[in-house]
Amino acid sequence: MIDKFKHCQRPIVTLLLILASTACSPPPPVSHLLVSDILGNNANQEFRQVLEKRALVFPKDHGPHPEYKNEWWYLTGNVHDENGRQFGYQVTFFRIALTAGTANPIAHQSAWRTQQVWMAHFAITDIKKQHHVHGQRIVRQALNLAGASTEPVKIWLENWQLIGQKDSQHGFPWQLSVQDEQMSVNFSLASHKPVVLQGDEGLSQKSPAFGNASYYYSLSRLQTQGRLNIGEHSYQVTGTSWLDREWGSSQLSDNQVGWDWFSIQLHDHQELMYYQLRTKDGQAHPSSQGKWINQTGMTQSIRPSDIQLTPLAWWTAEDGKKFPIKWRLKYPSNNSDWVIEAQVADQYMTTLVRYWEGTVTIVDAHTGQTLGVGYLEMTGY
Amino acid sequence: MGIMLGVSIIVAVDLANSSAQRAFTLSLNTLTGHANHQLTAGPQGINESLYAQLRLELGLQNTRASVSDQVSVAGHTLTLLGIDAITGNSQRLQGFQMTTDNSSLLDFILSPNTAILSERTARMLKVMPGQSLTLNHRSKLHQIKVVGIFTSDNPAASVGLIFCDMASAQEILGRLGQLDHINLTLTPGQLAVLKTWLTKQDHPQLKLITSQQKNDAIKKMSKAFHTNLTAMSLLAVLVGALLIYNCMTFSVLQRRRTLGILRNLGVSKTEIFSLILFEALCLGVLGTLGGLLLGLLMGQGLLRLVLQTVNDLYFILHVSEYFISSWSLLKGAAVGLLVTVMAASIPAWEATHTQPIGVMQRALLEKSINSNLPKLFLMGLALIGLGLLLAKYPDVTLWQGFFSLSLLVLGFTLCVPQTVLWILSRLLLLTPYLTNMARLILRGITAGISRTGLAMAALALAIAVTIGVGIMVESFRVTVASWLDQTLSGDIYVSTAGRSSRRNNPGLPSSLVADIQQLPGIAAINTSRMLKVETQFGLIRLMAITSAHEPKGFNIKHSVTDFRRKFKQGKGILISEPMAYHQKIQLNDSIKIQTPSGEKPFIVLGIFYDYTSSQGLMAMHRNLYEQNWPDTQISVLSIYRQHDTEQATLLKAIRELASHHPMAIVVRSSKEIRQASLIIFDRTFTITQVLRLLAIAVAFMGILSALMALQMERKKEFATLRAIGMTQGELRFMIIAQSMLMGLLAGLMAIPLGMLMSNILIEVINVRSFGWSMQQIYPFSVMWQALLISTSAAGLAGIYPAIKSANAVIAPALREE
Repeated sequence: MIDKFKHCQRPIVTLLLILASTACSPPPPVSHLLVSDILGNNANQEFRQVLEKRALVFPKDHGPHPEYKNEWWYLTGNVHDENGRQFGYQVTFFRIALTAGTANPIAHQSAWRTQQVWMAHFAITDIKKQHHVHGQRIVRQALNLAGASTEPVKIWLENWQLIGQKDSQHGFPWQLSVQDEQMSVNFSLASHKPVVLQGDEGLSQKSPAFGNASYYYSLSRLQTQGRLNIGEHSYQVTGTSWLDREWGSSQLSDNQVGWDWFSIQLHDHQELMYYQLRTKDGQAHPSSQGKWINQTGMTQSIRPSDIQLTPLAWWTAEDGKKFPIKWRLKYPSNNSDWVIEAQVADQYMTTLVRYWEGTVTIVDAHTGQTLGVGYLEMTGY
Repeated sequence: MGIMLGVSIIVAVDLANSSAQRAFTLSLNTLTGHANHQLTAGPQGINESLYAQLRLELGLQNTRASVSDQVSVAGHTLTLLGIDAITGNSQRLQGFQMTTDNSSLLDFILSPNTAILSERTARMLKVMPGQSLTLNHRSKLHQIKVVGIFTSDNPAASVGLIFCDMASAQEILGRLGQLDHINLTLTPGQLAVLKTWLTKQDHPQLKLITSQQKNDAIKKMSKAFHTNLTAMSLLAVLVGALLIYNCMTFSVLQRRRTLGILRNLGVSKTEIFSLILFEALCLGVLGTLGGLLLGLLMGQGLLRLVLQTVNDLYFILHVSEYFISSWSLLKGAAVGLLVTVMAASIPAWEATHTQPIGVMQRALLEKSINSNLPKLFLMGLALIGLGLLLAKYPDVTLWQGFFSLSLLVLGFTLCVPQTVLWILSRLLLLTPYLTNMARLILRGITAGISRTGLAMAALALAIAVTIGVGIMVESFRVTVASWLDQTLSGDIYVSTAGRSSRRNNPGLPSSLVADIQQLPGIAAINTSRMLKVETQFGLIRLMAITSAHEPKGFNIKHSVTDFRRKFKQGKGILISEPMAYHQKIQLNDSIKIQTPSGEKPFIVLGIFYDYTSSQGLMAMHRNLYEQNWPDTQISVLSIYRQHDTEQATLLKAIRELASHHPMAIVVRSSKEIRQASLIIFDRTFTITQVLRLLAIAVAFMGILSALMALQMERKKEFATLRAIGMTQGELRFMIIAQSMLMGLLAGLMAIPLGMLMSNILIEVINVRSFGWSMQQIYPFSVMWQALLISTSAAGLAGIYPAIKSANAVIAPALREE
């Protein structure tokens, strides 16, 4: 997955703008900013750049990389209760560095002083009720309010937490515990497949410019079980989740406006990840790419020429933005021809940065057979 | 004109009052946001880790940490407020928008000593984004860079606030690790969870209060002052109403003849009655509109004075927005129209219910009125008695006070004509010794008693208000001055500079205290530690004193036997009179005070006079203080010099010592403190003085319109006088002298009324609202000023009619009938 906060100078100004105008009942003025406006390409060279491949080491790389401008832990998943009632969920932790390096500490420095800001998004989609609820938290990395550590793996933003076990490479099962006013999840997550290194052995080049890249790995099939509460109701659920991990300091180029990202978990235990970067003229950028993952975790790279993506149906948000919520995906070399459709049309995240992120079903375009579930993310519309 | 003035006073006072109240609420809201609860830990503050715990362990999202203090920039006192600009949910500064779209905003979070200001504050301080300002916090200077400017939906709310990131705020204010309080927006469920959680914390100082409680506590502080203002505005209503009544009565009385003619021509009673009322209504509407406009203008001026007083007395109120409350306007308009119509209906009724021919003859009217005067007089006396009785009733509320004041005024008005007649008839007994002119003057007044009586009553009332208020202020001033003399027993006082609304000032440097003790020429030094402590009555100032020298400083009102010994032994504390009054505390009661080791009871040994605050003050002996508070700091030194030492020399030596310390230290002689205190006192009562002036203006207008109407009506009489040989000069003299005599009489009558009024004002407003007892004095100056004002106003009012009548051509004026 692609980061939403490639260029940090702007989002934080934006952040301030919004926070200073907090709790505006009409949408904050900044929400009109396009994602591409925020994700400019004028990287702060003082941040460490993603220039070359490197071996990813675990559990260390599950933890934070504060020398890079931004980083996230992106969990999406589809779960159901014993009656087959289905839910989608998303929990994302973003780390954003406001400036590179460590500032000169001043004498008598306040504990509130920090360079790292954390943001988290939480959403649940109730498919039966066709209802999508989401929340957001933004906190500074100070007073122990938010942060990430390695052994054991722990990422937290107040009482929204993802915690691994001690003394093992990946620390499975991870405990995900997130509560908002209207909903909560308490999940246990464990992977039965190896880590998927995205891009070129974990280096994901987003545009040809040197340094416009990130380190990117996924856990494409996390067995998930636990409790999900929404409103007054509580459900014991099981299902599968997907973790995307990325960190870097700069990614999109000037003519890239956004992307469509698909994570697909097929019932036959194979997965597909593909992101299509879009240019200003609406075309797929040549840096778009993906991975096919088979039952044993063997991967195969997907290039733009391998795949054909066509929007079939659109949904219009309240703010006038239009998102394609039904797609045709053809992957001829793999004999795949699918219709990917949102399970709920409105899975729009009206958070600090606005985007569409939601659960989808995958249906064979010819037989109509349901092949799997997945998550779709669309930005820059 | 009369209606206009009456309405304008009502509106102006009311608007100023309600604006100040709103300003106050707004200030509170800006600081506490929309939180419904607040966690405090007394003046010591809260450890910031508690804030993190609330969010981490309890997941309480709507929590906002608060650190703020007063700072000064270029002579302005402002509030520096720490905000967490990152944690979105915790901010509740609604409707704010940054106008500076500038990446330097990142500095706001990253760089120390940065701030954002509202557009208005920036304009006030004349700074632009990117510029720096020098900020003084407790005498320590900081260079602050302004990195952003914002506008707000409600610009008034953020005036005078300097917003800093929490980190910068803590660094500038020297509050590392500490918060003032935590504002929380809690659901009932969260509240229950938090309460349980708090009981498990070992933190006796920690207190959870509702925002309502918090705001009420602060509001209570300034309540007395607003009560005072409300009383003034009620007084304004009274004066305004009387003025309107006066005005309308004249306008109807004046046209009795015309009305009589109309009746003779066959116009029915009802028609005439409604004609008059309609006319009155039209006049009322016009006058009211004018009055509203004038009131709006005057209110703005008054508001400035009100805020000045609030700032002097209570706390810094930054908001200076002029809120035009429709309620105030409505009130003014209602009084204006209602009183106009009521005032017109009485003479209108009278005019329609007498024989048409009678209506045309004034003599008849005067006769009927004359016969009723003794009855009215008795009624008036009865009302005055009732009014006084009511005022003496214990626990009089403001409204009761106002009611008794109204009775007093009404009764007084009824008494005036009879009293005037009586005085004048006594004077007329001297007839043989009087010139014809003098007799003419006296007779002129008695003959037109229906009008002159009313005019004099109105004038007397207005003058009485000025006397009443004058006596109140003067009494208060004398009381405070003599109290200051007794309290400031030392020769020289040394204290730390700066005042803080919330927290405790640091003490004097101990090396300075030691150095001063070494100075030659000092007879004794008393020390005191001032701080604010949490009690069951809220945050109250505590003074811990030593008394090397027998303290004359306390002016004791009541005490238990042998209180001095008991006080020194630490058997209990002393409390101030307002505190005892408001909290209904008596000797030997105990007061619970939060000490660092939890809540402890302290016995009240005595009650002392104190006029420094209406919120209360407690005093305990230093030994008792140090047993309970681990604090050896000293806030104030009061130094007694030896008799053979020059005060100036000692003052210079101490100032020299103080200048070696970086912190600002104030060294003042008791004389300087006394002067400064009285200056603040006078400023506090500026508003009262202004209202007094307004009352005088009203009086002037009243007498002017009344006399003009009266004299105009006597055109024919004057023409006759001229015709039988009176010169123009004589006529002018007669009219002016008559006016002045009326003014003098009104002024004389106003004196007893004014005294009675001052009695009620002092009783109801000051004692009951502030809890201060006051010596009542009757300053001669107030009296003769009142006489002078009433006589000269009346004299001035006579000038125009005098010239007009004297210059009138005799023939047409005579021919009229």
